[in-house]
Amino acid sequence: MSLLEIITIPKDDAIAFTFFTGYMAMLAASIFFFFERSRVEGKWKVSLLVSGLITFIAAVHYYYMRDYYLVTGENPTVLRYIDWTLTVPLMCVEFYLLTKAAGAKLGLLWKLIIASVWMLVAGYIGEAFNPEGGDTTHSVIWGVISTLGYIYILYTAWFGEVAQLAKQSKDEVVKKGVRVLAWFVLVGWAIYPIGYMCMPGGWFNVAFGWGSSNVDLFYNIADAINKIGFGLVVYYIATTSTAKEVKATA
Amino acid sequence: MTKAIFIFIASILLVFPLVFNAGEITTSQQLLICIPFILLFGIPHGAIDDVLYSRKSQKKSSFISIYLLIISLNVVLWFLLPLAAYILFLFLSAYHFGQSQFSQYFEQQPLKFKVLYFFWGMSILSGLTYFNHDEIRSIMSQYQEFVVFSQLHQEQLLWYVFIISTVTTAS
Repeated sequence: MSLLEIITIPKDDAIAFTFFTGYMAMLAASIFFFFERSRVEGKWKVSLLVSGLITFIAAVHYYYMRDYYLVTGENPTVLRYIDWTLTVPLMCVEFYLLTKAAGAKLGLLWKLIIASVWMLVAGYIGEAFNPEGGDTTHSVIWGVISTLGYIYILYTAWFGEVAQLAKQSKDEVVKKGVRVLAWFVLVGWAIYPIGYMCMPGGWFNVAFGWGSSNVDLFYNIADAINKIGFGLVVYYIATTSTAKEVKATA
Repeated sequence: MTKAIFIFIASILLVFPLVFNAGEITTSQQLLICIPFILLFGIPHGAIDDVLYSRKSQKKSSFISIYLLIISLNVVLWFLLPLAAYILFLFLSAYHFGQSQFSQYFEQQPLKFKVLYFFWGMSILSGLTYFNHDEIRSIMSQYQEFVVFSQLHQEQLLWYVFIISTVTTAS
């Protein structure tokens, strides 16, 4: 009996392809953020560390998810939510770290973490505990509960505490960077509910017949854009701000 | 993103799935859902006009007299030329819908913003009427006085208005 089985990647399987590229891209991004940490000023080091952690945690989960998908052909829902429960609150930590210099308090960090965990736990219940075959009422109720968390984060990033603190910040790069990250929350994060609604019982599933096979592709693309893109914006803020300060002190 | 657009997105995200899941909602159920919103937002929205005006100007009495005069003229117009009054009402409503939606451009003077207000409102009004044509027809058939408006509710006309105003708004 062989303990190891060789499984071929189907040439036309876009999901398998994006699982592999997603894994490598996340790992490469982590190495990049960890190494680049030494190039930025002290106050930005934690931000870059968090960026690296986000992509690293995702890379480890993608390593397991690509195998799980190839072997079973099913959605690795549990692994995805374990990944998101760790990485999404860390993205919220980035908002706090960026606005800390402008006076962000620890309360903001906790509010964002609670909202993101709320969003993910409700999403997990809606997706993973949906009865066999898909129950639309279950999907909709938990989807709406989860959306409340998303709307709170969206409001905070665009108009609430984060936006106000960024406005008060003396650093133009921080102002611009926080605005770009707010766009990530609005556009990039919007892909996740689309994926959620493709699950059996979700109303994209009911209305357009989009199935669970579309979900993984949506999620893989969204993860790559949001996690690496989010980190790159933080990297841009950190390096530009550092360069400015070096220039000013020279 | 403005606050108005945020409220729009948040409402769609929360209400859309619920509406799709609710299935068929009867007209009386729709009325029950809408009454709190009419009382809380609709009526205060109309009643606040003089407050908004008095913030800019001290002459409150002139506002009320002009307001009452316009209302009286409007009532007379409805009696004498109901079709013209109805068209005027639709045009003003369309413009006002656009004004509320794009409140961030409220102080903007260029004509393109005024055109945007108008066509946005026309798109909503014609869309609502076109996609609920049967309901409109049943309301309009209840009173003899409404017959005069029926030429404006022809399905083909509504479709053209909807397409033209939506395309103009988008461009």
